[in-house]
Amino acid sequence: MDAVWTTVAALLTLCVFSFLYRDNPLYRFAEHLMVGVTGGYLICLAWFEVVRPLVWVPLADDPGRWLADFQFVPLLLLLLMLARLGERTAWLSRIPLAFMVGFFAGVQIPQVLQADVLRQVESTVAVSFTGSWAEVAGQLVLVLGCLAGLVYFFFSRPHRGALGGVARVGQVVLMAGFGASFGYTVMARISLLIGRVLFLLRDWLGVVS
Amino acid sequence: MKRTFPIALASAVGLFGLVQFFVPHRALAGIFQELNRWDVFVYAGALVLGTVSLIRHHWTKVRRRSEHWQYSTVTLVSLFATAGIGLVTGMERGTLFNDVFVNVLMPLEATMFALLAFFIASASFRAFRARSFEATVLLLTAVVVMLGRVPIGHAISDVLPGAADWLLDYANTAAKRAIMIGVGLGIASTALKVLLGIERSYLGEE
Amino acid sequence: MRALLRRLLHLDRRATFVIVAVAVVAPFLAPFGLPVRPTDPVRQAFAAVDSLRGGGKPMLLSYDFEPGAEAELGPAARAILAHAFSNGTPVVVVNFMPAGLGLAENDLEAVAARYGKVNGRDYVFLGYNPSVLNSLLMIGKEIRDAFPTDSGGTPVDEIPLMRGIHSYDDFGLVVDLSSSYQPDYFVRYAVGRFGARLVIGATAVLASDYYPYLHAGQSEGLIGGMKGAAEYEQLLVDAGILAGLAEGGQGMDSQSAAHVAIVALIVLGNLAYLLGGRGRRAGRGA
Repeated sequence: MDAVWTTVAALLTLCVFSFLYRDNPLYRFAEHLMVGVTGGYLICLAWFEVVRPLVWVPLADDPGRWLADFQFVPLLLLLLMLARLGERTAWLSRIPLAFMVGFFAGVQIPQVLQADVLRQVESTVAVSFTGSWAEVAGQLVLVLGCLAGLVYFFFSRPHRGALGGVARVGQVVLMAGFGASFGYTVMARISLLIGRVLFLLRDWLGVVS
Repeated sequence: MKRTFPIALASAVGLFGLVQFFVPHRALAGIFQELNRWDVFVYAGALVLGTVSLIRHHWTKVRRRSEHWQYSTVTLVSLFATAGIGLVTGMERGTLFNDVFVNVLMPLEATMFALLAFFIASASFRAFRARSFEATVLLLTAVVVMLGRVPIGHAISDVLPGAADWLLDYANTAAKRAIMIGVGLGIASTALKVLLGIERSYLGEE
Repeated sequence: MRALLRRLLHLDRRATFVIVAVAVVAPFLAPFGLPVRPTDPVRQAFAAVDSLRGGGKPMLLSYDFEPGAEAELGPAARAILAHAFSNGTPVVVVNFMPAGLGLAENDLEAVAARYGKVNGRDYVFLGYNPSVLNSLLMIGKEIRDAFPTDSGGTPVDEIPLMRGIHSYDDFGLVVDLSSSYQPDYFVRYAVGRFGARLVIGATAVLASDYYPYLHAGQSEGLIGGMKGAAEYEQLLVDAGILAGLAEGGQGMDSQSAAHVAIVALIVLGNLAYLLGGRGRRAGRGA
């Protein structure tokens, strides 16, 4: 049975790879099959991992608790989200959305400022300029490059004169960062292909141990 | 009312979330924990909503016999078949549902992403040009990282891996840090606008 | 010569597909076995997981990737599980990406079986929660509020491993393996608000973005993509935990060959562009 399933997986893999030649019915079939199976998976996930433990089991165990201590409110929020499905009731879904967005916004402010701004500024300022010449040069690039990059993103004044010069340095540093990202992105995409090739050669064809 | 109440709710809940960070009193912490629990139900509703929308979209295509409606039939049949199998057998390892996940969903999704390897190679060949100084910096950095970060980098030259490490530890960190600080300030200011009722795009149209 | 270079610029993209395919497949059939050398971010991640040796505080492992990133993070996840289990470190697994649930269950049971580990005693899978933000905040006070049961429906209070585990203070380390934005939340909330120790495993697409966290000390280590997994496997081999490299390391020859092929394509494309007479014309390109 395992061999049958492996063959199914391999054939579906080849259906998707057929897109490389050109768009064709096999690829479209595989694409729509993936969407359908994903949808079915999400239904099961929603039931077993979310609705059943959060709503069904507590409701079945003790229906009365939903009225005590405002426990009906989360259930109401869930139902109001589903109101979006109706044209005339869709506006009701703004309530749970507002709850979610407001909560998210309030909680984010101190944490984002602390982790992504203050801690990063602290780490930039606290550089020690010790080590080999390459390390010291790197630490200089780290401090000055970060400052120049921030100056580049300051668009309230035109980038002319000294400001323009610093912004240009920032632009170069940003390009170096994007180059590193591109190199890593290539690595990521190739890794995903390697995973599929390894499956085909090892698990299906058995030519690789 | 249809917009005013949600805006007021967002402000109230958001302000509480912000204040609680500075006032970790037990009573406030208890309410905060409860609000967190409630918020999960909104995400659960979104999950159910997304699945129902998907079914509605494809059912409409089938009903109207729109272009490529036959593929929508494939989607709907596979959706209900998978859901039916899962709800009956459960999702654990060893079930038929798990076999479908491992041998149908996993290879399909993984291969969809694997296609990107070919497209990035093609795009690199056709469009990655050293047209300016900045583009040249980007290109050279990318080449050094691509070669220095894989085992063959050592085989080509001992300098390459060190150069890749240097670029990642210093130049890349400087750039990403500048972006992170800028984005962080942007997130904080947008969040503040939500709390003050200025940012209302999440409500949709009138 | 110029005509040839101009023709090269209009090469059918399927030719580049064939070049990439050959570069990836050939090393599997004729491997050249280049050594994998661990880098500092991965060594630091390894050291952090190793610090839990001896069955002290458990590790909280978050499986936040889907089948589309399995090739990159799956090997890292299995390597970390092997490391933890061989050290006697209990593992509590959670999940915030929908299709990651199936991946986590399959990997956990397969690796646990290899090391004779028992569900509920040595490891537990608490399942999926749709909101990473709310869950991370709730775990700061009481993990049972975010995960009242395990993935199979057993109440957490009935699971022996979970006795005495309530919040981040009861975990020795948090490891987040993610193909999306979850590490940002782990840094801001688990680390920033509650002071947890964190190791990030990310797809290579995102790994370069997390260097600022690494350098600021907000993450103790960084495992980037399949290469990072290969480096981790090498460290496990050096420590005698694995007999040889697994899937991460197996793919490195192909990774090397493919990178060389793509660099060659980029250089060729630029040469063709510059020497093919288009170098001085503004606004023209392939």
